[in-house]
Amino acid sequence: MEIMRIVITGPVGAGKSTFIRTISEIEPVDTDRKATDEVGSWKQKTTVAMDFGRLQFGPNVALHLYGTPGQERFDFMWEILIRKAHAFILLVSSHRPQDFRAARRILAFMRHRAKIPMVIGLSHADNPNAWPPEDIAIALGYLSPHNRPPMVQVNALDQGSVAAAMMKLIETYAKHQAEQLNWDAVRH
Amino acid sequence: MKITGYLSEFSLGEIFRFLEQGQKTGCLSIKPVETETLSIAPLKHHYIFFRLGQIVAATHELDHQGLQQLIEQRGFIHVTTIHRLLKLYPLNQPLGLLLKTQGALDSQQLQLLFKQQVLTPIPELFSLAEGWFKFDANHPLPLAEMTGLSAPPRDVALAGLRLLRDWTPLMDKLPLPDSTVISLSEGQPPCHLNSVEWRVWEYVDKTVTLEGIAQALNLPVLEVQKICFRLMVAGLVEEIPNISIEPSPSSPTPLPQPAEESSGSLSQSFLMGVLSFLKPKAMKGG
Ligand SMILES: Nc1nc2c(ncn2[C@@H]2O[C@H](COP(=O)(O)OP(=O)(O)O)[C@@H](O)[C@H]2O)c(=O)[nH]1
Ligand SMILES: [Mg+2]
Repeated sequence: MEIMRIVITGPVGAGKSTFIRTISEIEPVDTDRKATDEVGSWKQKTTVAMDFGRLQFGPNVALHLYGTPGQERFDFMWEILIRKAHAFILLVSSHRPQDFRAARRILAFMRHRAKIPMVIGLSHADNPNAWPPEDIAIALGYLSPHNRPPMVQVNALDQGSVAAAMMKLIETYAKHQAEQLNWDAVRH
Repeated sequence: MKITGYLSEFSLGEIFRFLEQGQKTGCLSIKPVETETLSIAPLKHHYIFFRLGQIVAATHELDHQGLQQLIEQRGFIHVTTIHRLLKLYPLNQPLGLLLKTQGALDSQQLQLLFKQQVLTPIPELFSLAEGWFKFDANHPLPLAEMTGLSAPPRDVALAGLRLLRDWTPLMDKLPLPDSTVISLSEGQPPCHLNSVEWRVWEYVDKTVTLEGIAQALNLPVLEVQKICFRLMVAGLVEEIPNISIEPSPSSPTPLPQPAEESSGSLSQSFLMGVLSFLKPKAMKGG
């Protein structure tokens, strides 16, 4: 079984649970009994509220999605989640500037702990008070448009939109992996 | 887009950084919100003016009288003299520059005025229990309140916070003693640090807790918390709260052992497969 593990993180209300529910083929709660992977099996024994979703697209290939619980409390749950993750999406509500600080903290934490490819998903872009992506980028600390992770607007309620964000993440991952391989080839 | 909200949600440090990094021009107004605590003096409005991300003036009123009054208070020139000059020369440049060109003020005096204007309100602003802010990008810059000088908001915030005497209102915003701090900027900090800030800065990114820094530098831990708070406000560092790798004693189950292997890389065929699986779904939606 080849599994890609993707962490969906972001402040409370950003749309993590919705995102996972929208793309997952299983009901995110309680149906992950068969999950053989470490986090999944551990989850069913605990009461920690964590979202889990799965998307099997072939006999031996699947995506696993993990939503981080809570806000700003980086505890051992986070450690376990990100240790095995291949990539992550940071969801940020476009209309809640009061969440940008929490999002920045998560970014700093992830940058520090996990050097894995990422995409920023701007949810709630349909809200009339949504900030333009360019201003959100600045508020998150990305000043140069040439040196920032990919940013996509995403409506967590819409399957097409969520699938497009996932594609962006996987393309970003593939590019990152290709760069690493090239780099290894240069060094050897 | 409206840039407006409560300071408890989007802090003054964040607003400053956003306006600086976004190179915004306009007027930031801050209206203190009454809280239960009795204040003897009525709470004043604050207006801070930005030009291309730099602070160019600060006032309490929008009546264009603030700088003239400051000049008189300092004993530099009488307001009536300024009015006479303004009858002769139209105000088509910052008032400070105009007065300097006319020989009425020198550069040093302008610098004093600017410092007093922009630094004085900072400790009070950061200590507000609550405030309502609004940034208006269409507000014309008030030439009558401008000295012609400007300063980066983060330098203003840092310098202003160094003047803060009563930290009580900020106590619950300080980083915790068992946190570590990591830098947000590559290499040297892009603003002016004083010597004790420099000494703390040396420990950033070293996975030393604030308590550890305090011990190493022989400083009270509260002092290190304050310094780190200033560095956070200036957007130089971010607090990383202490991560307890141990589950809390109340945890229902023992933790699985940390996985020995990290996430291996994925095969090309896997990535191609998942992309072609997602593509029709992505096309269906908007
Ligand atoms: N309009 C709109 N609503 C959204 C969007 N994303 C999430 N929501 C709603 O926002 C609320 C919070 O979402 P939820 O998934 O629980 O957020 P979580 O705390 O990150 O798990 C729910 O009511 C969602 O239906 C979006 O992009 N647009
Ligand atoms: Mg949720």
